[in-house]
Amino acid sequence: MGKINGAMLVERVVLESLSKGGKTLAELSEDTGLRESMLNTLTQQMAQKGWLRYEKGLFSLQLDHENSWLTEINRKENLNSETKELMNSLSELYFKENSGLLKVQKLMLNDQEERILNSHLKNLECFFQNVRDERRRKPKADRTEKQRIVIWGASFYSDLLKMNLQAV
Amino acid sequence: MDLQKEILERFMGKHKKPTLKFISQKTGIQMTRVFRILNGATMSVPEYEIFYQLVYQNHAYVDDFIELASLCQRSLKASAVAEIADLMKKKLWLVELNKVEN
Repeated sequence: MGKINGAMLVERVVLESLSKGGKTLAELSEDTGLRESMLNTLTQQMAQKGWLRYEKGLFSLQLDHENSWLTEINRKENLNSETKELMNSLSELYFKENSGLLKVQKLMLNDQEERILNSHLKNLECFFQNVRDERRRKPKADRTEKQRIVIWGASFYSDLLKMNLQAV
Repeated sequence: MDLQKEILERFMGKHKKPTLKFISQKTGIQMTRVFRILNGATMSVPEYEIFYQLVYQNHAYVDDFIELASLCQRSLKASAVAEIADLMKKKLWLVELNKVEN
C-alpha cells in the first residue's frame, strides 16, 4: 500500500491530545477514547514517521526537527482531506445512524436576506472565537474526544456545480 | 439486444466456453431455449435477470471493479485518479487498524 499523505483523523486526535502534554498509553486512551491496542499500533507508526517520541513511558510530540512533518500535515491539500473525512463521517452518522446534526439548505435569498445570513455567519464565527479566547484564559479540563465538531459554510449553487463538474 | 449481448459475453467469459448442458443446469432454462438465445433469439426479462444474477454474484464484482478502476485511470485527470487512490489507501489503512482493534 502506498504512502498516505497528511494525517488520518485518528492520528490527528492523538496529535491534538499530545499537544496538551506528554501521556502514557493509558492516558492517551482515556483522552482520545481509542483503545490501547489500537493506540499501541498507531503510536508505533507515528513514531516511525517521526511525529512522536517515546521516553520513560511517555509519548510526546517530536517537535525538534524543524517541525517539517507538522508543516506537511497542515498543508492546504491535507487540511482539505481532513475536512472531507470529517464531513463524510458527519454525513454517515446523520443519515445512517440518525445521530448528530446536519442541515443543508437551498435558498433563494434577496439582498436583505443575504446580508442577514452573512451577519449570522459572522456572529457564529465571533462566538467560536470568544469560546477559544475563553478556553485560553480558563482551560476546561476535559478529554480531547469530548470536543465539539461544528461544520458550517455557504456558497452559490452555481459555484458548487462548477466545482463538481471540474472534479473529474 | 446490446444488454443481452453484453450479459452473455460476461457469462461466457466467466465460465470459459460452457456447454449448453452446463448453461441449462446453471440457469434452469431449457437446453433448446439456451441454444436459441445463444443464436440470437431475444431473451425475456426473467431470462435476462437469471443471467444477470449469475454474472454479478460472488466475485464478478471484483472484475467489474477492476474494469471500473482501469476506466477511471484512462478517463479521469490525474488529480481525480489520485483522489480515488487516496481514498482507497485510507480505507485499507483503516481496515488494518481495525484488525488490531478486533
